[in-house]
Amino acid sequence: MSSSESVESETPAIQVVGVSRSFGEVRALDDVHLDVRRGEVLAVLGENGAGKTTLMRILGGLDEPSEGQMLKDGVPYRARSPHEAVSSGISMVHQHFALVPTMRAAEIILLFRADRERRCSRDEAAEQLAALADELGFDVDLDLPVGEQSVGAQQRLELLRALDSDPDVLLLDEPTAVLTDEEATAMLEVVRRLAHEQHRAVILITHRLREVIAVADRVAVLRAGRVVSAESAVGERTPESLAAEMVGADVPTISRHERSPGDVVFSMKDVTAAKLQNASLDVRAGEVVGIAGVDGNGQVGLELAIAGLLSPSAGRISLDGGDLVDLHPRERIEAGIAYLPSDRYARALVGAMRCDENLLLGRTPWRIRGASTVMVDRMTHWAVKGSAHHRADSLSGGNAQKLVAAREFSDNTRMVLACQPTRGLDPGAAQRLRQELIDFAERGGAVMWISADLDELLDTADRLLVAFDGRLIGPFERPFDRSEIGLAMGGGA
Amino acid sequence: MSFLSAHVRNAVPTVLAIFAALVIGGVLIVWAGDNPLTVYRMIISESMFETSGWRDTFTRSSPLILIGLGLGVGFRASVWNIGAEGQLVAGAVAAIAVLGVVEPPAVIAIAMGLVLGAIGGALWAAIAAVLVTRYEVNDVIATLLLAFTAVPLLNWVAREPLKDPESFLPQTRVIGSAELPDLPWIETHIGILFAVVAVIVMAWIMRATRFGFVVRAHGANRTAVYANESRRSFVTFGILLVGGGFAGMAGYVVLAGEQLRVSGGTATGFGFTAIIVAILGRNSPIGIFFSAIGLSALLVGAEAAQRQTGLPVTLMQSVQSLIVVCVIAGNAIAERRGRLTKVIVS
Repeated sequence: MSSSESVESETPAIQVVGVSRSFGEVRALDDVHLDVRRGEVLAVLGENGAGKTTLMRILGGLDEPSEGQMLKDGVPYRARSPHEAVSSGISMVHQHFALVPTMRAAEIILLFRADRERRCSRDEAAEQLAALADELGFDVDLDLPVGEQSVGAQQRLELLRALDSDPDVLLLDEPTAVLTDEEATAMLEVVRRLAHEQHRAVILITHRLREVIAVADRVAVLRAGRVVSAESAVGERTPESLAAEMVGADVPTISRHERSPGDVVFSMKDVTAAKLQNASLDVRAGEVVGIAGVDGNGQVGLELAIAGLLSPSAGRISLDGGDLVDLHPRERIEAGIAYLPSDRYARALVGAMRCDENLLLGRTPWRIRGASTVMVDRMTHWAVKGSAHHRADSLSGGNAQKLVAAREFSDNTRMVLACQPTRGLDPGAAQRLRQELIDFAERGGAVMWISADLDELLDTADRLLVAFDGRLIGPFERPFDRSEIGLAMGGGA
Repeated sequence: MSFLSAHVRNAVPTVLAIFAALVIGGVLIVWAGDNPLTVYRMIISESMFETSGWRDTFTRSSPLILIGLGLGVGFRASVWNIGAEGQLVAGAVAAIAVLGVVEPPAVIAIAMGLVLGAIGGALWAAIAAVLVTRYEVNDVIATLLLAFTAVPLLNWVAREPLKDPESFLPQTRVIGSAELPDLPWIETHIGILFAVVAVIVMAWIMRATRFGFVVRAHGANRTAVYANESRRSFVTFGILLVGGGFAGMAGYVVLAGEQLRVSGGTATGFGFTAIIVAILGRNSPIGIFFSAIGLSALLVGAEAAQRQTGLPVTLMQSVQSLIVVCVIAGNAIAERRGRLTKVIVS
């Protein structure tokens, strides 16, 4: 593929003309028009549920439009499977390298090769892959089974996998979601080169404004299935205007006051649990302690040990001086721990049961009839959109999290353990939840806040620790030095 | 009344599935050279409208209902106890071990029998419970293999330690004063009354108490239960004990209602049939009651039909299996269609 700078005046590589997709009553995509040319990166920005992923799936051959059509190089295009999309020159990079963890990269590449002519031996495939990695300046280990590699390495392999078919059009679905700042920057640089130097058309799905500004040439914002801004050159946009367009209103800013923290409420000493090694930290009354770090660096061990789902193999965890390890789950709740789990659908909600029943989880009296009416009032207080008699899995991500919060926050809550609390929430709902957590701290509560979103913690935390490779590094105090913390997240502290 | 209408709605796929199974069964009956309508009519009249028929139907359904209630609780919680046969045997043995020796007044003896049966069954289930919760053995395997262990143990008990010294056969003494009396107006032993009371109590427990709540939550998402309501192994352990307790009680009912002695023949397969009963009843106490009555009536009627027309009873056992397959398939289809109407967007 030769590098040519004459980007304009060509037939777009992909044109989306009036595409709609309905699921029953819901219109996930509504009359969407887009085009992307070779040699440019088009960012598709939108909050959860805006239809970004549906659009990607249709382009990538995983779904089909209900109405409208697509053109590839000016010719009508329709793919009924990912293989068909790949043979038309459209390749998709998924969020996770979700494939046979025991296989090596070259084996997976062969698994994906659709056309018989390109079948070859494993060694040949490994060579081709190594050449491709070299060209992009990727440092990858092709001999190790992918399941044993870091998430960052897996994401790079996933990109190589997508590039193996030499596509004209590359679809990237949140490719940096699991990466450190440093890794993300490197990944985005490669994405830019794939468009600008190798002359491919790239569609980048993301909700990170910073990435849009850094790498995209043009940006289109999706909201509730519609393109709300015609694609515009990124240079003309500010993060604030993009965010407002994404949500449909201005996102409120967080209000936070300097406080002097009180006595130690929660304390852990030399705790080892799963990947977490010898972790010690205190959380004081009125304090938000943030745990930053890329996923998979011991946060799960930390979370499960405090939540009582995993017995630490060593160390002591206490709340108000009382031992927390080996408490019955209900004693833990009565002691005053409120828990917003990272996987709320697995650990906090029973999807098949009604919302009012979910409000009783962990708080059931001996006779449950009639007990739920008291709790249902809290649904109103937290503005959960949904009926108390509907199943909890009918709620959207934001409302599900509000339902959990409505149950967990009570008058005797001493500490909130908030794990990735805003993950999957749209910006408006996320911001409201952040404010609730800060307000709780300002009323004198203790908050431990585990998040992979460093920006979120820089806005909200009073103190910060970084989880890296099972250890807790820090604390970092306000005012935070972003680059210092970023370095610690990459293991360079 | 939304509660009732929801029940009716839930029953629709089951009723349709049973109808479909009877139609397929009808084809088999035609193939065997009989008129299906005549056969089905005969089954209904023989099992329901003849004294000996309903007596057999009720007698046979009592232990099925009791066991089914215990298994239904387990299945609701996704704890797969399929070893009720062994727990039943253990309950019967526990009851005869004591009541074959002592002879208290009937009321006390019967109460003792129920309690001893429950304890025996629960103890047998406790072995499986320890294997499952302590050593992480699969619940299906632990309970099933212990059922196969219980049967030879039963043969040994009837031959050696508990053998009736006055009998030449390998069987224990008779149960004596703990024998179940007949209910006067239906001429059927009192076991069916125990079953009805148990159904009512369990229906209330499942709907209105913390126990029922935890069981339902455990079935849908056990991690959420362990994070909020209960320690990790506690629910599984408790549910296996409940299932064993009910099966053991059924063991006493079978012993004191029909067989009167424990022998190698005490294990007649109620424990396995009750799995079908619980599945057909969708694990709800009321549903279990009706499915136990229905399945018993089908087989009682089929036996009568065999006596009168020579239609092999195995054919009706095939119809029974067809019903199970159709109901499971029907529920799966109903669930799938329900899910399709609310596909997750984006």
